[in-house]
Amino acid sequence: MKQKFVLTALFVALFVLSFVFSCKKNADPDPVIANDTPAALTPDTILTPLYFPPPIIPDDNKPSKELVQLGRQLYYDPILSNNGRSCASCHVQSLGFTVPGLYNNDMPVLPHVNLAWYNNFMWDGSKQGTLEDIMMFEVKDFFATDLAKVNQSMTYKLLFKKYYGVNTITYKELAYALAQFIRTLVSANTKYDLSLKGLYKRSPDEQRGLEIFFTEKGDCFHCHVNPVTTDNLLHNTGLDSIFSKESDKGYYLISGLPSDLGKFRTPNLRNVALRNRFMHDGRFSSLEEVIDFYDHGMHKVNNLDPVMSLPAKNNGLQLNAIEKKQLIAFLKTFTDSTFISSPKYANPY
Amino acid sequence: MLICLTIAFAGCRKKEVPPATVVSGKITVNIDYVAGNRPLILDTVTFTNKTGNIYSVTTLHYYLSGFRFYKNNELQHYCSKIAYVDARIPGTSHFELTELSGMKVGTYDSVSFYIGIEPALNTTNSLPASLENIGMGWPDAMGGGYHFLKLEGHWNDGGTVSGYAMHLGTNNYQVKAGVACKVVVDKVANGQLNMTMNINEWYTNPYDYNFSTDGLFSMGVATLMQKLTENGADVFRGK
Repeated sequence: MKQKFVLTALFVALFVLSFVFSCKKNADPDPVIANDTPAALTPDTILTPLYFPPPIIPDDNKPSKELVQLGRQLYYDPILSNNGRSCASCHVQSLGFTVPGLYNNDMPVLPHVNLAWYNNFMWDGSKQGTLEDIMMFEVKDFFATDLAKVNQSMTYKLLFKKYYGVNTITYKELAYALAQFIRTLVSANTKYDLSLKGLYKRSPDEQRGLEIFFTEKGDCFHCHVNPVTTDNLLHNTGLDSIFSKESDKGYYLISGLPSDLGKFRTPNLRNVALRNRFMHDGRFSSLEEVIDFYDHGMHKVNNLDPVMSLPAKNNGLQLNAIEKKQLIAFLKTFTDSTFISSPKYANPY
Repeated sequence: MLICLTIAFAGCRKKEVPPATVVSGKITVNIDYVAGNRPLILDTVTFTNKTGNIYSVTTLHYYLSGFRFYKNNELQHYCSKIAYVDARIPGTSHFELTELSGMKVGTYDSVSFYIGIEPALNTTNSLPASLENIGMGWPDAMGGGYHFLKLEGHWNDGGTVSGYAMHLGTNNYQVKAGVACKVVVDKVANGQLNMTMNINEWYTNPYDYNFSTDGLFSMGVATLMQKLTENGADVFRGK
């Protein structure tokens, strides 16, 4: 009888204890949400300008409306950094998702535009792969995002749980969500795009500028390929003959090969007329200066890109003042007023 | 009885069996590269053309299209494949011809093709856009269509290193190339077409091309593109 009483008491005690523990669990301010199945996502599409190749989209991060919005929230949220800055601090929509001047007094900020068609990133091409790869670098190394801080945000905690099915947010989910939004930053409504569709007639100056751009007269098109305006490759365009600064050495710093000295990524020309610093170190502050350089300022170095051999050999392009203005008039047709004002890219906060 | 047998045999002889045709499969094209008698190694200024220019190759991008298979100089089969090749990406120098419907089983002794895009198809944006060939457009302002060839590199210009860029495009400068070869095609078409491109051949036969006196940049220069077009006819050799 006594033994039976002891067993019953033990059972009751265990029962009570289990309640106590379960109550403790419920009181946890960081609850583990039981349902691990991510919410159904609404498929989205990436706007593709006329004659562009298909965008690069990894199979494991197909665009969805919900994740694009999540990425947009993160893009404008200083929670990712430890200094109060967000992606948007250096990538301002009204300026074509870049900023004037130099980052760290060192280099112009490359614009976030049409990155869905990039497979290498940074001026020196040091990061290759998909947008997801570069965003992984941004959160892990550039921002050194404090994951504990992000995981303390109930908003993000719930959103990442809902859409990615994770209880703990990692760099991967942050990178993937950012990539979702940045992949949607597509410029497709410039005068140049409209002219391809027959919806805009160029002025005579713009037309003549196009002919300079797309012929050997200016020979811009071999690197700024049509219609993406970047060939995704690295070139030495004769900026320097002496590489006094480490940052002037370009892809050489990555590969260690002398043939890569001074090689930099071809920048995208979308909204180029909105910028005020050009080249990897921002040495030029106007399009006029850039054109003057390609006209007669190139250094004939050993690893000068072969396609630059024409202007280098024949004493430059020999454009006259009117032709330079016409070329700039054409470059201005790459300005996309829709892109820089679209509410869907704007700060959601 | 004898008459019957004779008639029967004669009937058998008369009844010709049509040659078998390919049912399925592919012909694999394999391309490798030499400069003279040495294997091509990109980015090294060590190769010498007939005029004595010492050069490297940094870029070799080109299209092949309009494959035609011959037997005893008679056209047997046409294949509409358009292949883009970047010598820096090994996989692109090995591709498959799968447009083999109706191709007869047998042995073919030569193949012709364009280095470039077949004239009827060489119009701006006629090919599906891709990131791989993103730089191959030939501007409308210069005639439109596609670059057929981009052969670029550096050369030893009297002690200093300079660049050169041999580009071909527009239908006036289609390179009609071909190779003598032995391509055996069976019913499931497991044939192989093995070829070697000799870079030096771009610079000779019939015209000896000298960077120093001819020019470094062919695009838009009719005389240079003409020389390259004619020289290009035999840059490939079958294996």
